[in-house]
Amino acid sequence: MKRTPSYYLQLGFTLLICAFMLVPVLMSVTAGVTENYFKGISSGLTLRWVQEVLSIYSDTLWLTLKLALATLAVNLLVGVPAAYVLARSKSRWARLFEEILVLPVAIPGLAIALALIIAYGGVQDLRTSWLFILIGHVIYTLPFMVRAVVAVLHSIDFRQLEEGASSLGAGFLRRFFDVIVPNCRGGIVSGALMTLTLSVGEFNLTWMLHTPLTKTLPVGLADAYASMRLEISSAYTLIFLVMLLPLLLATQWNGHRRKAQARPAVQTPAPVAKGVTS
Amino acid sequence: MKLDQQGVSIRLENCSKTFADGNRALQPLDLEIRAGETLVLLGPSGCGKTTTLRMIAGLEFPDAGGRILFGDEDVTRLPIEKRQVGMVFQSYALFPNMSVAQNVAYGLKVQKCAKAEIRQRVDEMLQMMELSHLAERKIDQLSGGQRQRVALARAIITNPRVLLLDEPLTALDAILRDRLRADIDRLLRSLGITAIYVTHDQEEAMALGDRIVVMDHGRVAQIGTPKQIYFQPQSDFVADFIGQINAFEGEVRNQWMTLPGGRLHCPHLADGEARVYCRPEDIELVDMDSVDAHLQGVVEQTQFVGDRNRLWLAGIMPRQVLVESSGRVEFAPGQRVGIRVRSEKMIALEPREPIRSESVREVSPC
Amino acid sequence: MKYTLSGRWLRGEQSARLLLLLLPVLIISAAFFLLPLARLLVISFEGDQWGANYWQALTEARYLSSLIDTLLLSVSVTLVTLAISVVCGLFLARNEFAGKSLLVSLLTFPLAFPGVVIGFLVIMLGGRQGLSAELGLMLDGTRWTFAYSIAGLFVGYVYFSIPRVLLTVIAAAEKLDYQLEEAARSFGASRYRIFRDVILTGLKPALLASGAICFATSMGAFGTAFALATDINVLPMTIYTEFTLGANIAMAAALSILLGLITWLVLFLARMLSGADASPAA
Repeated sequence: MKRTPSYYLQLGFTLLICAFMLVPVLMSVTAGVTENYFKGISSGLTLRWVQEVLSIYSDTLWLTLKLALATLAVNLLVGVPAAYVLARSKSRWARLFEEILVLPVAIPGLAIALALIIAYGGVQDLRTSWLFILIGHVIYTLPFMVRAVVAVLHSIDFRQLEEGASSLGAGFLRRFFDVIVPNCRGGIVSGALMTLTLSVGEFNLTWMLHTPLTKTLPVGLADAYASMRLEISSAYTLIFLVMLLPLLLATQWNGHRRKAQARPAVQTPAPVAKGVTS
Repeated sequence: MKLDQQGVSIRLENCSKTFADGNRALQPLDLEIRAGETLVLLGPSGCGKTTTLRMIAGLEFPDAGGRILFGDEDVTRLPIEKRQVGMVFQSYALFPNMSVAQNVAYGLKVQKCAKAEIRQRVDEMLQMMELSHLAERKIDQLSGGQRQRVALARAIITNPRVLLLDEPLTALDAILRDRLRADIDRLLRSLGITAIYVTHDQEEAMALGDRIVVMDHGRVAQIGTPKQIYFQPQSDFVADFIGQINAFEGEVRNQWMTLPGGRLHCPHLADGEARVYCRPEDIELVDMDSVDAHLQGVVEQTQFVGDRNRLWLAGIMPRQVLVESSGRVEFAPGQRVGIRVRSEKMIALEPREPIRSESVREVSPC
Repeated sequence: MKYTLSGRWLRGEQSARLLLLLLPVLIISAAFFLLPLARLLVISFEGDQWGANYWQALTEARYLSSLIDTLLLSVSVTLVTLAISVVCGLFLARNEFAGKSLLVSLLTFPLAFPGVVIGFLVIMLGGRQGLSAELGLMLDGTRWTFAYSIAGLFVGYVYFSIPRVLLTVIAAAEKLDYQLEEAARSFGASRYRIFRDVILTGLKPALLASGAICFATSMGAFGTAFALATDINVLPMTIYTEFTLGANIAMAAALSILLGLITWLVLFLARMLSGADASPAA
């Protein structure tokens, strides 16, 4: 393939954008482990700031993890069955409900949080509990979970699979767990990763819903950015990025896996395929 | 392998089906399927054949008043999972999350058979269906023909009371279809199971069916053995739908029917307007100067298909007449030929009905 | 033969079962989304006069300028992000070279960064101790800073939006039909015309959809502005200030409703126009 000047121009531009995305992250990471950022790396590398962040903000870390897992649990328990119902129902009510369900995605989190506070802010026990934030996170992430699963269900002929299972004597629960759930695993995994990633980084809602005793990591970050020295902010950001990293890697891996699966199935496979699957 | 449980007889009484949108997919139907026979439901799409099959399966329920009996048991309101049927779906509905062996074992697992028994029966079944080497494969690693065999194995391993096959060969290419048709035929005969087979392919129906039910617009057009259906169609629809056929229509006087291209000898017909049918292979080509060349036409189009020539003749009837002749004789468009139809090869329909009755409301494909 | 009505055999107890499966989500949505939203709407109309808050929001300079600033900011973020993503997306979709997938990964991994972190990254770039400040010191002895103004917000939102839009554009560009371009070439169309008539037209649904999402998130985002703090007067900040400092809950509610209506409407229109799915969940 011949490389034209236009090719190099485009490559250069793309690399420039890549630098724009990458440089501040690298700067932030460096700042988090530098003794004195103002003086530069020559002042020496240290984990002092990271330790300091852990001593000040470790509770935000745990709360964030707890929230993310709880949000995921709720989404799995109520979201997957709901997705199944929405995918199989053809009624207008189901379509309407689907629209309502995904509405939180189209409305800024700030507005949703404000609405939640107006409606339930007066209930002290709830207002001061981490469950209040959980509610916000579920409302915000549930659409992503439901739609990821609905999309997969629409891409497979799950009705015929279910008819197949029932012709073999399987009742509803068996069909659901033997056939439906395993075959939309890809969508469930995508939805789960999305849920975790969104919950861990959620700020718009959480900032409004949190109390001094229920601070999540992003809330703590905003706190640190406003009041702490740059090195501590950077170290805190670094910890957050480390927390996100497994989710990012898993998302990338999941994307590649699903892309590979989406390729048309081989009609006449070579005999070697046996070794791959057994 | 013989099944422990031989098939049951099945009776449909007054079964009709109206869908929620008001579409009548099936007019009230009475049908008896004998134990152990292979019954083919044949017809164009939207004729109600699949609806009938799904009612027998328990995937649809008949309108009020309809009854479905397996042997003496009334199963009308029983859902499919309680009916002990085996079903092969058009797109097979194999579970992509399971291996071949797991797919085949699934029905037994649901029945809570012992692990050892499941393993043994699955092994036997895989062996019988020549699938043993594929046991651990995932479904998406199989060819169409292999999938089809897995679907069959999965459906019959549970010893179902009836085997239901919904166009199981439609998804395959022509060569594979021919081979698998023979395989299925052999399998059904050796199992001795009651089987109901839905297809729109008349050749498939002829090859597999002990009896064929030809359906049209939600009604039964004719029930009979393949030979009866082919040689003694009882309606224009059946005559037209099964194989290719020529219709001759005209005024009969003194045993001769007058046609645009000459005369047709119909000794069995009374005077008056009449119509007879004749299969392309039953029309003989005769020399133009022969005394038998009562009908004469012009070759408009020829098609050489190997063992025979297909000729479309103009000038005999307003519509072209299709004739089949030996593949070794040459014909050229424009050539004049004479034809003869022996009266014993003609199919006369009694009583007469208009061609493709339009009075029946068009039912959209279900 | 497709059985669009194959749910029939599930009638009766079956549809009750389906409803039961949907019930938890129904309750959650009703109790924690629809009901609060209704309360928000009711409160937004409270005050001396019916609808006075909305009238005030659309006439008083303080609110109106906030609304207009936010709209302008979001539109320019959307256009710039789309332009960048079209160039990079087309390039990445149509060329194969070593390290390409790494490049795509690097360009898209900030997808998961929340706005508040991006605010901090903007500070790293354009803050008092940031990259541009260092650069300024080197070049003319003054610290160049842009982070604490609407320019910083602009950079942050572009940063935030690039991964999303880029992924959509790459996916759409990979599906473009090369034969259309070849056909256009066979008619002697110029490169510019091909780009405009074939490529951009082909990408249009994707651009509409992802552009709408980009616009909506820029309108409603809060974290970046919050991290940059100081005097950025975008609508979410105005709402926040009304709510906390002004304790003017009715006004905050009215502004929230306005904001929500705008973002919802843009996403809705994009979905209508593109025929594709313009919801961020896609």
